[in-house]
Amino acid sequence: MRGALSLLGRLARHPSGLIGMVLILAIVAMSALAGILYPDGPWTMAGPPRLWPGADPRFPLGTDTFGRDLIPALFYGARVSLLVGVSAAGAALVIGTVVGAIAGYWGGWVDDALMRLTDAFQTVPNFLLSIAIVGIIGASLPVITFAIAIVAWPMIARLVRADVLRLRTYDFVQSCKIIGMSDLRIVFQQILPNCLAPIIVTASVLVANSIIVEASLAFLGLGDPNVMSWGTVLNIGRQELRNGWYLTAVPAVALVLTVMSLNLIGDALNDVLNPRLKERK
Amino acid sequence: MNPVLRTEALELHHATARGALRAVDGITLEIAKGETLGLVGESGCGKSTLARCIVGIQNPTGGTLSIEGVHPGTSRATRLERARNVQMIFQDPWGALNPRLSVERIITEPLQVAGIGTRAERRAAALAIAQKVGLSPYHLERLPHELSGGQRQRVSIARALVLNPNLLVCDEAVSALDVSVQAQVLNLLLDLQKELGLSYLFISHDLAVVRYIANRIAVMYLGRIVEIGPAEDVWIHRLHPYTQALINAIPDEAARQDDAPILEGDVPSPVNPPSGCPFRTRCPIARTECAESRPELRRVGTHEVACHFADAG
Repeated sequence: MRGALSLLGRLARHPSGLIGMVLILAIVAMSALAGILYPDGPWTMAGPPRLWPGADPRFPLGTDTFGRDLIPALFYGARVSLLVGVSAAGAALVIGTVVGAIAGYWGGWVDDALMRLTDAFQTVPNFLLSIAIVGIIGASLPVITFAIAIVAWPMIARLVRADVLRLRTYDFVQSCKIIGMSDLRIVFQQILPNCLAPIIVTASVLVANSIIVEASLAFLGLGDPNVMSWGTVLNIGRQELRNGWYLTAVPAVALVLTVMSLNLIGDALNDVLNPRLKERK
Repeated sequence: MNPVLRTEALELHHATARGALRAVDGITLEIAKGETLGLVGESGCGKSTLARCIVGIQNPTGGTLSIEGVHPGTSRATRLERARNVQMIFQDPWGALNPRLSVERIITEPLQVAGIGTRAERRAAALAIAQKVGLSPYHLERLPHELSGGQRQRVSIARALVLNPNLLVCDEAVSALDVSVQAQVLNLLLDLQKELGLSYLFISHDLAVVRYIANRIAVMYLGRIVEIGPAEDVWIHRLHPYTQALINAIPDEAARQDDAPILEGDVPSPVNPPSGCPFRTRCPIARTECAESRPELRRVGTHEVACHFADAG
């Protein structure tokens, strides 16, 4: 806990980390306040359709083809993006870490089997697999999250496996075997905390990636029809691209800012967690 | 009195695509209570593998091993039992300690795994053992990267001793340290031996260090012992041409014997060792018999040597 707080502090002192954190906090605030500021939800038709941004002071970002205000759409969309992004990345992280740690530590046929499975997932084009899963099972948030996580974990698995392979030969691991520590405890308590840095850095990129995939699915009409996501707005805007490009631009800017802030945080984490750059107090 | 460690024809053969790799090929030795056996040899001769068999990281494929008269098995319970009798100190003081754990945690971990004592008792044990190895109480709060190489090695020793083992396997335990720090750690090991009655299996490629600390010296070549005996005897009356060559390779005029051979080439492959005497391919006095029959260890004077032509003269 104290470690996590000091990590946040060090992140705030890093220039790109600070920018990224401010942006991501703003987006988190948007999703938290959506229900309070716009209790009617994002689907209400509030004004005339196809209102350009700035044309009416009541709708600073304009309205869509059904006369729905774009600002609540952005606020509620932030919820969906963050929810799907974080939970898909979290699921991928757990699966990837467990698979990678087991493969790397036990080696032999266990490693061979798990790595062939990982290869199998990596040879299928990621986005196509996600589309296929959502297309077959049906578009709902849990399915979309699953479809994103199931293609993302192999990357984590490879990363963790490589680090565990390196660390398991260290004498401190041998020493734990000599004192009779169980293998599970050696892997999860001794080895994994030592490969946390690359995992955390990758996690931030993974969240960004998941948000993009979710928006892409919604853009293609494979989003959960019951929730308003940025991709939903993009999908509406696609048909209006020639005369109402703002409909595409508004959610796109929100996406770009979110993904950029996560990448900035990833960069900053990379610097902050790198022990060679770490200054001791 | 029972020896602390006894191995008989201990073997560890790895199956490889080209045949069995004989890392340890029939080692018979004993270490008595309070005794230090120095084990020397070039890298790749199987010293470390033997050590790993003794502490239980690897399982021998043949022969017997007994620690305090008990043949250790491989189950978790016997691993814990073995841990109370044998511990190991490693070469690299930077890799031997988990970089994320405090020194106190590192030292108390063996107790915790064995389920000994309460948290407070373990802490007290750590304090006591830290003092014994020359660490201050404030070192316990530190992380490994805040310590020097010598201090880290002291932490390793403390961790190894916290379970009160009888045998300590030191695998190149001082090789990575500065010479001045080496002397401090060696003297610490000698003091601890006197105080606690420890036995050491002291593995090193540095003959001068082994001569200083060991009561007996065993010389290993290609998975076998080629000469074993009291330390000064082996040093002065070295009989095996390999021992002679090793000592002659020390850059110190006083130790050199002019007629001793200089080692050339590398250790042959343990997958396909030479017929007869494994050393014959590099031996200056090899004759045709050496290719035909393998010399066994035989007693010559005060020590034993595995060579057809080594004699007390």
